[in-house]
Amino acid sequence: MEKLVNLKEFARKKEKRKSTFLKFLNVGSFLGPYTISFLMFFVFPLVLGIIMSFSKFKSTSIMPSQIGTIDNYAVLFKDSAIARDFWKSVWTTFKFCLCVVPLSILIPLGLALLVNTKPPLYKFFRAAIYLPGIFPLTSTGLILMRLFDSHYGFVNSIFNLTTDWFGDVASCWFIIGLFCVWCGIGGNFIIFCAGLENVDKSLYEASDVDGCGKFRKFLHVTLPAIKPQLFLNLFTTFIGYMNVYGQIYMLASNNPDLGEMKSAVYRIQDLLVGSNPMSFGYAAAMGICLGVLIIFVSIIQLILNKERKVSKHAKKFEAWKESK
Amino acid sequence: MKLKKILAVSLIGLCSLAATSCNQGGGDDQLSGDGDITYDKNGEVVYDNVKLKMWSVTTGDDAGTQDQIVNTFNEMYKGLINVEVEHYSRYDLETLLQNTIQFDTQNAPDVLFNHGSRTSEYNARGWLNEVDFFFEKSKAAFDKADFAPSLLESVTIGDKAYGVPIDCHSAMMCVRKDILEKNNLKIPQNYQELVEVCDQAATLAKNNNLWIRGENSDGFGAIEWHKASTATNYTAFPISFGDMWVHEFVSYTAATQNGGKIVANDEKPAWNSEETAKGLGVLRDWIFPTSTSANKNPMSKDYGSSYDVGDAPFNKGECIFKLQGPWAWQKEVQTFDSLLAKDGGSNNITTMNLGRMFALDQSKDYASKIKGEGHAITLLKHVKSYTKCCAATVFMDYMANYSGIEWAKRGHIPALKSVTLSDEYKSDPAYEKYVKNWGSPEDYVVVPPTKYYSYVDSYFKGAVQKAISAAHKDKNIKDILDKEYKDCLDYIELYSE
Repeated sequence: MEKLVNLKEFARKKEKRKSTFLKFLNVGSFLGPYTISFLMFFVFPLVLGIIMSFSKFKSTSIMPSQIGTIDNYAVLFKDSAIARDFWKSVWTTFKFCLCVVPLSILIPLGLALLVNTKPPLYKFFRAAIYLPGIFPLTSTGLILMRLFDSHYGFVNSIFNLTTDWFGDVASCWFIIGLFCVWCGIGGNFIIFCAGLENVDKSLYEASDVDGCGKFRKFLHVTLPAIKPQLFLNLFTTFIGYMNVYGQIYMLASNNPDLGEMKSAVYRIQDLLVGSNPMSFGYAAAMGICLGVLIIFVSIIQLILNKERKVSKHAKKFEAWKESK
Repeated sequence: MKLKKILAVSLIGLCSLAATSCNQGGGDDQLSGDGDITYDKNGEVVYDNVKLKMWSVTTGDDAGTQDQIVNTFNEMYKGLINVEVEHYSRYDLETLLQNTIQFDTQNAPDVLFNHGSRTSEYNARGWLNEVDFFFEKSKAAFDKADFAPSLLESVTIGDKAYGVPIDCHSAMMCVRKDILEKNNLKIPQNYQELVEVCDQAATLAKNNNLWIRGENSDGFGAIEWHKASTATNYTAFPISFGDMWVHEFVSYTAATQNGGKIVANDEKPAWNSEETAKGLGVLRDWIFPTSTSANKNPMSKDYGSSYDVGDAPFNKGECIFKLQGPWAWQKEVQTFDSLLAKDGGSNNITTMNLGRMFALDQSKDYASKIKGEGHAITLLKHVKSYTKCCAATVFMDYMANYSGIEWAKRGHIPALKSVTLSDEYKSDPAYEKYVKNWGSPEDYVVVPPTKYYSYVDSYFKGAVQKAISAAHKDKNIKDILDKEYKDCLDYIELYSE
């Protein structure tokens, strides 16, 4: 009898081991590639970047000559050209984000609302709005350069203007903003479209019964329903534009006041000119500072947008329900 | 201390994979002895099918011509030395080189065909080997006295050569001979004559007396002469701060022709001088003339950040001169052969170098100098085989001596004086037709060796763009130069080891 129990126990354990192994195999085969990529291309560079920011380099090797120094950070917080230029560029980037991020949210939201009404050819419009985003920055940048060239550009020719769009700081920022919005709204637009598709239709019917107008319907039904998509877009767009580089490199490289045009990432990239490994420590420290700043602003956004567990409206509703 | 240990351990762990394949580069390996060299009974180095890999900064048509020249070398040295060329754009080459040298040394090139002005910077990274030692072993010719002094200086650090100069080039001027002749104007030979011609053309146009012709000319046929418009100023020589030719060659040339220096003896920038300011003042007056300018009329419109600003007006006859790279001369010839086919074709245009075109005082020695950029072949330090290094010197010798007229036709003037004086070079019809107009290698000056080249160059470009832009035209040029100079030095100080 005892032997029989042991045999059953053995078979049960073996089966359990087998099923556990298969479970891990299944999970591993799905998650494995992503985990490896995540470790290789995110965790490794991040940790290496942090370590590099605490390291000194010699001009002859990309391996650090000294580790555990805070000199790179010290330089960024004292009165030096590199500190002045970096923090100025961070402030410039932040101001740019304050202008462009709202546009990159509101314009695709408006377009998504329009497309969601399913007008004729709405599929064509949906594709056309998304299209600029799939082309490389260099191609779309060249189109803009051709459009806005001060002497041979179509815009100046058609409107008989003499504006040097890329030579003046304000107008160059305007074109860069246009570039970002034009090419960047596609992704946000698609996310908003998906969000709008999923809004519960019964809520609209209920609001109709309550006599809501279009604006109130948008404010009290649509907007709360797409709140997750709205904040996803807000976060990703803000983070994306805090790292703006390619658009500025394409359009502003010939601006005589290039110092006023450089974003934080442009300044970091600038340090690497001439491939001098001695700049790696400073560049890494700048990158970490910028990253921390972005995280800090994102946390503030997160706190501001935090869903309250029990809203005042919910409390009132509960009280009303109990009184019945 | 604890933090240091933690960071050190983490780094070692994370970098173990990278470090195993990483070449530290640099080092002070002393060259001595014969290494793996085998000599024959005559004391010559034996080459047994030595393979050399060269990365070249040439692209497009230049790459095709260079491939032909290298193929001839490979035929000549069949079974002995074979060179395989890979072409990369100058925008990709440096990063690719750094990554390959550090992480994939086996696939790194043995020799590099790149701009000579980068030699000092690359040597500071520990990438290059001196070549004098191997020229002695291989007995290949390297007569330093035969090279244009500035070009040789650019690859010489201390008293050792770190490469062999091959050629030099700058921007060139394209000239509408037909418009000059039709209006009884002469081809200018210096700045004063150029200003005179441009002022005369502007005055003629104002008085509705300037004859022009070209493509798309308001309903006129390309060869049909008509009067230039009186509605706007006729500006004979378009330039702009956004134009590459201006900030890469013309600005340096203007500074040099007025006595300015680019690099000081300590390898730091030296362009914050009154002389350089004077040179840039010539360019500012070019677009924004004042009562004290040599030119009374603007010689160029304010094209701002636009580039290649001469191309369209030149073809239309709306200007007489334009800047272009000499390698594009053949295309200019083709364009005009087609555009003015019924009336002389490309005989209506000619090409000139920039010598004396920005000098306020023609009596000075430096008035004729042209800022150029030279190609040089350098030997990379990771090549450990002495036989391979000797083979590289044989190849360098060949490229310097035998690229000659074919390479010059593409706008690259040979660095060796003897080559430019040779019968083979001068007897080619192209020489008489246009190559001789680009001058001799001794007319060219390149940026002297500086390990801070990238900073010296980029901050000077910033100063030039400000100096000739409308937004800064009221600012003192010397003040602009001083401000950029200070910033440039601040960054250079960061890298003082």
